[in-house]
Amino acid sequence: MDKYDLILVGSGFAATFFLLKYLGKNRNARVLMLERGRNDTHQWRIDHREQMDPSGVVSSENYNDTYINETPEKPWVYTPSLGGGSNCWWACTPRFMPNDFKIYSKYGVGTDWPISYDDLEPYYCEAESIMNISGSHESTPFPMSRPYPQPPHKFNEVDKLLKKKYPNMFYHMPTARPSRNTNNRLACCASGVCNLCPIDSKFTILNELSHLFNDKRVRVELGSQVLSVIIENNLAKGVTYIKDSIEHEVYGDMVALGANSLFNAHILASSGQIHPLLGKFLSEQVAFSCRVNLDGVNNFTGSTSLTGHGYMLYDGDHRRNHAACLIETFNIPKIRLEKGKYTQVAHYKFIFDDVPMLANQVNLSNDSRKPKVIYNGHSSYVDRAIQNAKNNIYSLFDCLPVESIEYSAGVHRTEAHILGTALMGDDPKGSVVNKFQALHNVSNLLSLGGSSFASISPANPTLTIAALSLWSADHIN
Amino acid sequence: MPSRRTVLKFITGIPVLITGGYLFVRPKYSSVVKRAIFNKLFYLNLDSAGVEQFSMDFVDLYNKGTLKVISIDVMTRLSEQYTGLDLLVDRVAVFEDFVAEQYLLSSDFFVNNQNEGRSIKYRDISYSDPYRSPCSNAFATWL
Repeated sequence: MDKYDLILVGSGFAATFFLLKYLGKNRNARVLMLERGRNDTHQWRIDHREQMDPSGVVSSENYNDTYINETPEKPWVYTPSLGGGSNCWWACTPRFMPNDFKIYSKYGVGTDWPISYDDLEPYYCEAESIMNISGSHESTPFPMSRPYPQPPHKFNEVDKLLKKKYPNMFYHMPTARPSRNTNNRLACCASGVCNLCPIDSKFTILNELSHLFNDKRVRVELGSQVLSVIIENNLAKGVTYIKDSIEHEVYGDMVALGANSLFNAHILASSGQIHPLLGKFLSEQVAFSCRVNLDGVNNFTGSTSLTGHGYMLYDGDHRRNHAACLIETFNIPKIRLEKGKYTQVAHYKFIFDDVPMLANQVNLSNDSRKPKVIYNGHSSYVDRAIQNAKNNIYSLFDCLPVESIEYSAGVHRTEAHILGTALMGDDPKGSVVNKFQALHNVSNLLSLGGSSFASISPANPTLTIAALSLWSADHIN
Repeated sequence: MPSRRTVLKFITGIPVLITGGYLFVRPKYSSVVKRAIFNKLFYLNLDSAGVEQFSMDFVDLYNKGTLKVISIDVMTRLSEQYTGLDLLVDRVAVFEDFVAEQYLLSSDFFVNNQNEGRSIKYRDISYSDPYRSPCSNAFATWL
């Protein structure tokens, strides 16, 4: 009978960063990693890029076919292959702000995390070191005990004007698109298609951490979808999974689910877990884009696809009434087809957090392999924030020579960040997992990643997911 | 009175005739692309031979979009003939913007500091495709 010290489900950021720390602490461990997808290498993706879906995913398995979506107009985007979301991410790596972890006690909305920014700070540093993050050495919106491993990318001309007006609210975007060559990767050269970087420059699990998959302590099984966890007497004993249409059982001392929020919740529910909040509070950030036509300033001179982060609408008392907003500045040359104005245009994305809602949820379906997703839309908390941003956008950009501003139609369909469904907390009644992402009632079963976020943030979640996995692996016995 | 079979033949024959007629008179894919460039960039000094070559290269690169080009052509003709077809006008504009942008990025226009006075020379369509020409961003600067 196969038995492992650890069974890991998935191979994206949550699972692989957990594995990295776990192997460092357990020299003689035996680990089984079960990944539902195949090893779609970088070259395979390049060769099959014509199959890229509108969200930028190239994968041998179509994620849309893996779950039942009650509201197909809202896709839940992920990459079902070895390395998971790291294959198609844009490598933007802001930390959460300290107040994101205590949004309820500070602003009376959402839910506090059972951990603080200070708890996670050393693990943020560690994750940034592993990914060789490029960022400002001079000033950051959040406290840092260690500088970024790499210097920041170069601002474009419009960023410089914003920095001048907002010295303490506008920053270089921290990113896993390296500003300098690393041991394994060339520096980013601003090709502007980061979801599938032509030169494999951005950090991915496959280009930096694939040595873990070849570690003699680790066995990786591809094409293996975990269906449920075997739980006896409040202890996880193993998992059932399906591979090549045959169902298998495998046993282990600890099980860590590192799939996305849809599947972590689905696996737990399929395992007989009946916590009333399991599968609930599915959420995602909400965003709109705008194009700012300028007079006399030529743009796109930055050294990577996204160069700046605006925190002007992020933290503050307004969060009692409406959502926080992070502004991303795009440096991809989407030119302006007007005489003499070709590069006199700037593109921004305004990203908002949402208050996770009970009605948005993942349930079991008639198909044991497919979760059913119900999403009733984002909250009015976001709508008020969007309206506020649009009402104030001209004064926000009054340091720029603005000619006109054009908005994207509505909000984006997806931010490709699936969050919630197994929230963390100290109270077993009000949360599914504890602060180490272990189930309150099954202490050797973990639900890693975005599923455990107690509340969300306008900041991209990936760095926090990686840091949380390092934190959990460091504390779990 | 014509038989049911004759009526059916007649009904099914109409779309076939219309489609066949359109396919017979339709412009070449490359000429739709060429027209979009001249429409959009009329104020620039374009090199005709270069635009011609780009249009053919564009057809080769995006050869799976034949149906789209036919629909763009139909939409262009309709929106030129009738008013109030804003949706069609928008669709055509998106296509023309894309084609014109790809053309400029494939040319020496940005390499020569957007000099509108000189004749723009087409280089190669690969310059507009980061997978064929990685690291050829004409605007980015480094420290």
